[in-house]
Amino acid sequence: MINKQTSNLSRRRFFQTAVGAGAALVAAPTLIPGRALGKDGAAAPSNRIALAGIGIRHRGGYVLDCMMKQPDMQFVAISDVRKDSRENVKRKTEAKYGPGVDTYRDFREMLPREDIDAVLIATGDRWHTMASINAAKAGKDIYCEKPCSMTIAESLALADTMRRYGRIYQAGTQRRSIDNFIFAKNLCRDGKLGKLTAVHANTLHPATSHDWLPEQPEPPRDVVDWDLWLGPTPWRPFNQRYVDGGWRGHYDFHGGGILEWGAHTVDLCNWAGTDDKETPVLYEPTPSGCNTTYKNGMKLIMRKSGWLGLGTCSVRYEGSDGWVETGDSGRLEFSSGKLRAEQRKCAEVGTSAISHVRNFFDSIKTRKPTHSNAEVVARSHVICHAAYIAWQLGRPLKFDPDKVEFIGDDEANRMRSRALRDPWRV
Amino acid sequence: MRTTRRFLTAISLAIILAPAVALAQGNAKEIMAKPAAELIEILKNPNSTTFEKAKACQRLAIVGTKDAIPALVALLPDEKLNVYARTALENIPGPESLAALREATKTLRGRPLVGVIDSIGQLRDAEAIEILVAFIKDKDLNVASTAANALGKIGTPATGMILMRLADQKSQISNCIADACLANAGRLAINGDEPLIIALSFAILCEKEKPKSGEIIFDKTIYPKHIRAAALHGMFRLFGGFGLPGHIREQIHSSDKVFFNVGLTIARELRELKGDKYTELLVGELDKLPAERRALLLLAIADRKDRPALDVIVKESKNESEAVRKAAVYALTQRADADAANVLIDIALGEGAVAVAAKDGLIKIPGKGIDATIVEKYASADGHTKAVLLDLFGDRGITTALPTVRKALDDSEQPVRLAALNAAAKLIDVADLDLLIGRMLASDKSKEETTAARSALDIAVLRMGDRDATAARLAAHIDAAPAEQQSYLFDLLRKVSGKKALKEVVARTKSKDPAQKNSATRVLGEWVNADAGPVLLDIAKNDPEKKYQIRALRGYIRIARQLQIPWWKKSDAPAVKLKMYDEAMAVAQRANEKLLALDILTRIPSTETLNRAVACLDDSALKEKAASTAVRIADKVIGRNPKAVAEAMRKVIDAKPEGKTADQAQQLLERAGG
Repeated sequence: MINKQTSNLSRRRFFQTAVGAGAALVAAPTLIPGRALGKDGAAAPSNRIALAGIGIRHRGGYVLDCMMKQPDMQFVAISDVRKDSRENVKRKTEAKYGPGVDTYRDFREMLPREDIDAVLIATGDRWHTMASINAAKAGKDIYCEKPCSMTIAESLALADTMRRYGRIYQAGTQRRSIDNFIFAKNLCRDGKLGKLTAVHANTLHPATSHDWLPEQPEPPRDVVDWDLWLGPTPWRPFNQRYVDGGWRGHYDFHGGGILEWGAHTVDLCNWAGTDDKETPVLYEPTPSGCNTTYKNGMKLIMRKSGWLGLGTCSVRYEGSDGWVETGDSGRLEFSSGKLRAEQRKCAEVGTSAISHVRNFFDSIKTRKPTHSNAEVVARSHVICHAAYIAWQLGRPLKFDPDKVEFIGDDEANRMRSRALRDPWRV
Repeated sequence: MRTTRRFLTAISLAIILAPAVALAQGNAKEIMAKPAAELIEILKNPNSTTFEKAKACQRLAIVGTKDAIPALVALLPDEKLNVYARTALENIPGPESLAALREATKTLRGRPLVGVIDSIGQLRDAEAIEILVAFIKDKDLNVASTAANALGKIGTPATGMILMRLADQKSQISNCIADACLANAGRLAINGDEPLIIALSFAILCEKEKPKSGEIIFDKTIYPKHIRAAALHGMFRLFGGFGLPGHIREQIHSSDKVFFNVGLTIARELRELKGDKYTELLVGELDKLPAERRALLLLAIADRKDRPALDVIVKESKNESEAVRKAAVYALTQRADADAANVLIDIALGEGAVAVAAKDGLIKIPGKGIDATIVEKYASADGHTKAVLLDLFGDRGITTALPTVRKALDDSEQPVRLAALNAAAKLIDVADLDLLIGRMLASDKSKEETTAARSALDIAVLRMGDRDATAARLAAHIDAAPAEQQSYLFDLLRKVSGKKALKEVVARTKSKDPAQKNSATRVLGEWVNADAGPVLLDIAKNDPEKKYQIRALRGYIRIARQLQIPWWKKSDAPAVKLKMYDEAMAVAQRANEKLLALDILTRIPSTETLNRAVACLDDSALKEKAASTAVRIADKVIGRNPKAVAEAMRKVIDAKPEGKTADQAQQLLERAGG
């Protein structure tokens, strides 16, 4: 946790800061493992991974589809504050695995099950850190959709908890497992672009709204549990629009357009530019993004427009010997024929999460950190949050990556964390 | 891909639209622009709404001083506003907020108390230790567990001792106590202080037996496996193997997967310290493990910085278990030296999944000497071996092998020819492109070879340094190509793109050959950048055939919607897009294309584009789309031109659109002061 009283968070603390128990750790009755790991109730093969879901609708449904294609996974339970969502997932997964997928409104009742190895978390952003930390404290491995945190403090708490419990964590930043992005990163890391001067990340407009939607009557708790839907975020009156996906763009629920895509693209840039080892030290807001600078002078530019049309979530890496740009089309553009000739295979086209999901399941078995493990995504999320804070304040900010604090700007430092609504804690 | 695009579009729209409908609960911007003194007055005013107080708190979190504390504390009993008040209290610097939170614990109960205790933990208030200890015994388990959590966050030797004593007793919050113990130990470890307390904190959670002396009583049955595993892992992480190799062996041989996983994690993380040779120790356990675990341990050992000896890996590469052999291949790849590469070459020349893994591994180990060894083996290779070696030529980029590859394109065995095509794709330059085109067009080739030639061309054209020369080579074959291959050549030209490719395609949009014209207009509509725009517009306006007019217009609108202006010219983008919209609407004869064109406007919100959308309200086929487009644009420009928004929204409301659009227009009208 960020210590606001001393406003001093050391680098070592970044990696070792401790966080407290999650609400799920209140001793709950351990449920008898229901259908355990097989359709017939018999123990499944030892290498079968029993997966449960937390908050699965559109995006989560897609990732679940990718997971269901893996032969060593079996889906056993779903938790969702929405009745329709949990029933949809139950129907879908039972069609493949047979009867026995259990449903829960509250994930705290599901997590104590010892037969569950891992969870897929695809709730709204506000829940990502909290659900991940609760799952880790219950001994589960985690695949969590991006963005992974709402604040700088949550980013640190996430990495700390995964480390403390030795859990495997994969953020849903699947571009780290897709060929064209890997190829472009390798050009940087192998020195083919010379000395890197700038990395560019495609981000959306940063703005969010502090307003509330009109109050509507709360539905029955079994249909939508509004209190649980809000979770650790501040209270506000119910409106169905939030629940149906309209939470995006609202400050309490959404980190804005830099984080929305930066969770992918800034993460890719930091990977390509620094091998996940550095954090920019200067943040200069622009009308629709932020220009940042690393200690060695390299720029990380977050911008919305001016891309070469290579698809959504584009990135561009520039060095003394050339540049490369790529995006979700899978196509790559280069500054020279020499760099173009480096391509030796046709990049995968698209944004499939299949390879990323496979990497997660492999890591569960080998205990090797995943491509998008908590340490690397915590760093890239800190960068996104810091950029958004600079954008909100509308002034340049200096940042101390070791202390994870802004230099000489009390207001900025106060924006690094928010109180969690009771009874939630990390 | 389509799913993802829809999802990304939905996100973008949601972000754009969110503020448009967020109206009923006041204007947050207005409140949050007030100075701190006025924000405090909002909190004190009994007539202030919950919304107003919430927003005042959120702003005070950033700009508030100790003057705001009394007003914030007064909100703590309010279940809705408690979290807002705490956000401010947690961020206002100085001892006053800490004291206020401690004081609040005396009167609060239930969830507001839980929140305050959590804030105390967030602030690591060591003066609150006694208060927190008292709450550990609270009947409200949320209060008790949050107090334990807060103690763990404070992270002092004193809290460490308290938590260890608590950890000794089974309770309904045992897991929370354990977590706090772990957290406390982690925090102590930051400064490397109090190693005994740290060690005991871990030990109390994972020891198997009672100690012979000491006041703390260990009982392993209190804690579930994953907590014991976390404690054990923490112990290893902070204290190395703590001098007891037996502890490491015990985890590796545990019958329980949870503890075996701890063993694997330790195997990856433990560094060689003080003469301890952990890699040797781990290697010594391989023989004693069943195949599945042996493979997993070997994978872990392979990732260690102190690599296992080559002979160890070679031995494992001959294991009867495929999983172990694959792990050995991985270990060889991780060694990444010439000796390992030589072993991998031999394995790669075999058959099956392990051979494929070895071939993939070899690609990752660079070295001219390794290249030479691979090339050398070709001379005496048989068909299968040749195919493997050709793959390696290509994947490793061994250009010195190009003469061999050219020759292999005409090998008597088809698998060799197919591998040669794949290798050629990765090695040739533009001068050799005809080798692949010729094989793709040849009528005497099998379906497999034609397909392989196409795949090779897919790769080759993307990596050609000279785009225009590549386009010229491809275009030269179009006229003589059979219909299906001709269409494919057009696709390749689109992939190559660039000036020459565009010129060749444009020339064929006027072809008398219907097939060529069809292919040319098709790929133009899918062109990768805005360069195709002018010619598409020309076709849309002037082509004698209506189907091509429509196709071209749709392609033109697609480019306008997705137009990417290079970033150094970004100020031109709105003007260019607006011009394209006007041209598209002028040419469009059907509602379908006009509806598509309206989407251009939402990408460039301005008073001008708002007026363009409103102008379409009179067309019944466009009314709904025009109204929703106007609403979306209005939300973006309301700050700049509320008068124009008010006027536009009145027209939208008068048009009586269906669904939520009318409500949104009404809300925007009110915001615009209309």
